[in-house]
Amino acid sequence: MVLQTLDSLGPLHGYAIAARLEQVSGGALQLNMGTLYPALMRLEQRGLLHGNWGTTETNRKARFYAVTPAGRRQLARERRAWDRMAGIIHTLLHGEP
Amino acid sequence: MRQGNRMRTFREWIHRLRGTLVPGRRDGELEDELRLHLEMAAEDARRRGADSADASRDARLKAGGTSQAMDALRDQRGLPWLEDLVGDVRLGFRTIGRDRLFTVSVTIILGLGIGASVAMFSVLNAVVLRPLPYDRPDELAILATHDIAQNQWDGTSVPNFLDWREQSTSFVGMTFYRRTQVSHVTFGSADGPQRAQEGLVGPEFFELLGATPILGRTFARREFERRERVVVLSEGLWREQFARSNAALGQTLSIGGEDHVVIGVVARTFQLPTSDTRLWRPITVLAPLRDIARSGRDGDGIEVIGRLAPAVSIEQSRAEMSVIAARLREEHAVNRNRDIRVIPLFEHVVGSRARRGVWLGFGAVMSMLAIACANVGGLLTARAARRRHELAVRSALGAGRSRLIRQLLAEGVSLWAAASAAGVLLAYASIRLMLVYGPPVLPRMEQVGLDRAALAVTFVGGLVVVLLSGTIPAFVAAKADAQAAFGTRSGSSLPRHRLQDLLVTGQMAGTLILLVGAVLLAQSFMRAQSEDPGYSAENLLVVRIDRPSRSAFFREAQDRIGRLPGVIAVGGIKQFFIRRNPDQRVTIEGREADPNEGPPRLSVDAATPGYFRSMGIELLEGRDFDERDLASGAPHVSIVNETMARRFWTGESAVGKRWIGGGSPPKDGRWSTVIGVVKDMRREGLDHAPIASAFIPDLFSQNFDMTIRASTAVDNLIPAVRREIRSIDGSLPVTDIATAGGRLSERLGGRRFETQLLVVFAAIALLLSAAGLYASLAYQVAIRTREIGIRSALGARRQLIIRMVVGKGVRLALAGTALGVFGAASVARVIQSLLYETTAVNPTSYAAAAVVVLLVAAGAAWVPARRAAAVSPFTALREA
Repeated sequence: MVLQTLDSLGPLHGYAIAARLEQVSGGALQLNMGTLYPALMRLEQRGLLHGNWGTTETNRKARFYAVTPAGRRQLARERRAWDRMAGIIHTLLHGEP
Repeated sequence: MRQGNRMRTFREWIHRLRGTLVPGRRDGELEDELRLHLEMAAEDARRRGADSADASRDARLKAGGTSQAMDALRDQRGLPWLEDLVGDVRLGFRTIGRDRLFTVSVTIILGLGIGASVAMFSVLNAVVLRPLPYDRPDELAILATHDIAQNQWDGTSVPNFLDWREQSTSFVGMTFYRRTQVSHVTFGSADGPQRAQEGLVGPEFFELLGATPILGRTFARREFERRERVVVLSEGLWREQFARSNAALGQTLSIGGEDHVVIGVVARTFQLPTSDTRLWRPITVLAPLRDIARSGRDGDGIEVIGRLAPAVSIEQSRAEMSVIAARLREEHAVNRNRDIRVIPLFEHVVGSRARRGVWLGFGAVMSMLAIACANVGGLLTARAARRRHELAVRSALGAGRSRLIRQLLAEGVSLWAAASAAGVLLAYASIRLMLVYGPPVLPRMEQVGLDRAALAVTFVGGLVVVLLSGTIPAFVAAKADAQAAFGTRSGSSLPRHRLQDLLVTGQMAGTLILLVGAVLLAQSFMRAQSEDPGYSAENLLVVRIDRPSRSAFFREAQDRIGRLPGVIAVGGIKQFFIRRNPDQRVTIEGREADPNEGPPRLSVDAATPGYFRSMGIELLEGRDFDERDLASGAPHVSIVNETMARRFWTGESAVGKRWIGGGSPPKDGRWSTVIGVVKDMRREGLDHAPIASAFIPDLFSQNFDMTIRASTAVDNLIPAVRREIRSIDGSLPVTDIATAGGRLSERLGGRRFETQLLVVFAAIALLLSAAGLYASLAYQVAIRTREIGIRSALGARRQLIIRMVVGKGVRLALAGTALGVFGAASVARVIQSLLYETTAVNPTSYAAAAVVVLLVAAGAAWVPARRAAAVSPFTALREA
């Protein structure tokens, strides 16, 4: 899901995604290849991502992943759900809306 | 939202499923991606200031190992458990393939068992289990007249039918058809005139049964009222005469000399009144409706079908019809002694004998299957024992128990696949053979095909069998000695042997039961076949003559055919084989009819002079018919058979005695005088006792059977006879011409088939048991080689060892035989109804079967015994 958020930034290749996530989370989220790539494959199999071979700025062949419309819809859903959940918990813990 | 999620999961699964068969993204491509990741990670690290070597190493540490990542990717790409399974199955096939003798044996044995079971089950389903193809068939029933006094079945008359229909409330509808024994017609075809069984039906016949025609329509009311010449065809006839063309509707078919318009075709599964009915016409082609309705109440020309009202049971309808029958008995004298019986249509069509026969066949096949399974189980047990070393090694190398089991199961599946393939082929072939070569003795037999239900059942059943018989022994084997296998090679392990022994004993028992069955059926068949028909069936031709167009036909035929070389005599009889119950009531001069039973009944037939000579039977007293008896105005005469003479005129000569047809003395005083007594003939078939018969002279201007006796092989005469008949009367279809011997044999066709079938099964079972015993003993000898060697070294003589092994074999066989005898005796009652003049529990048959089994067992034990005796003590001891 986190990957989804990231992809709003446009098509990226695998390493870039991992690097970006690490940066945004301030180092807390460090994905290794054995976690990242299977997850990317899974998202692709579920139709939320679409992968394509392309070239990087340094002219290397890399596989780029982009969000699909279905992926975007799923992202929005998850975001809403998360916000709702967070709101409820916040209310429970701090006692005010 | 939930559905969306499920859709995506489904999509993922599809991709992964495809991934197991065809890897969508190749390993190389995935590796490239991973390599790039590592490179870029190293670059980043270098950019941040680490030096080159450290950078790559750090990157790799942070990002994780490539091979682990590849593993995870591969797992995600396909379905790991599925891939494992496929791999196991492939391994299973390879392992099986290596052990060729074993695999072939198991495939053949199990294939035989499966094939026979599928074939038999298909027959069972088509003949016995499948419901009739009519609308709500459980509601349909035949209403038959039963003569209480003579204990015989009869047809009924139309006035009675109308009363039944009007007075009963249990039935929502009734219809009728003409009795089939008298419903043959000649119809015109491209190949000349042909004879066929037809259905002459009353109004609403097809509607009551709920039969939908596959082309056109069935009879409408107006066609009865206006006596229109219309016909409905069977699918078979439609195919033969009109090549299944839709243009057949509206065309004409010449039936009985008159043109009829084809208005419809019914499916081949529609088989009323009989399974060989080929066309249907309204009964009004014979006479107008009004006349039919007013025909004599004492007639017996029709049979009735009724449909029960939805909430009414058969018992209720029977009760009601009894009341109606009683009422009709009182109202009309002719109905005296007549009762109405209600028989479910299924019972009538399939018949209890056919049903019993098929269930018996099914039981026999199941026994054979059980024997085959036991046999295979034995083989698998032995094999599992041989492999315990291998399994132990695998286990030590880390294969989990479930993994081992899975691999064993996979082997079982491979075996099962091979055996099932063989079995299905066998089933298909045997069904085809049965349809082509087997006699059509079973009702609905033509509808037998490779049954999907049968296939499903057998596949699942076979799978269960193989898995059980493959894995249980393997379990036992593996459990017993994961450790022991690494120690000294242990000797016999009792539990395993007990299982094998049990299996062998079971096989022997099953074999004995089948053998006893085969022996009994064979005895019964041979007894039936050896019955004297009373006439000489050698060189006797029987030709059916249907409605000759000339009244002097017989005389001319007798003359011309009599002159053919080799012909001894030519005669004619109304019906060669009696198909109806004796139903002619007679009055004997000087004897009062029994007040309870009414006038006695016997079979009265018309015969020509020369008939008895052509049949090769002698007159015991008196003389044959001759010309004077045929002259008009001549006194009525008749010839009777022994049974009749014995029954009515015991102790005295029947010649000169007088009788008359009908229930009372003749009004004009003209009795029929007996002029001769003839030897009994079995005219219903070899397995029916002769009945009281009388013959009256006739020259036949209508249908009859012509009998021709020749001095030489009579088959050669057939073309000549046909030619002569055609030249006398070209309109006659001479299709029904056969030797008497052939006809008699045909009538026993059912028994012959049953016997052959059971003999084949018994033989197979015997073979299997022998093989099973041999394999088991051979294995045990091999296992106990050291022990035998020791005994031999200690001085045991060859004979002792042989006796030991053979003794074991015979002991197992004895146990099996005892069990089998018990089992066979229990099933005796079922088989009794199928036997002719043979008791199901007669000691000779059982003893014979037991002896065969024991001898075969001894023979099977002989080879391992000799091998055991040949074990040299030195080699055996060296194996330690």
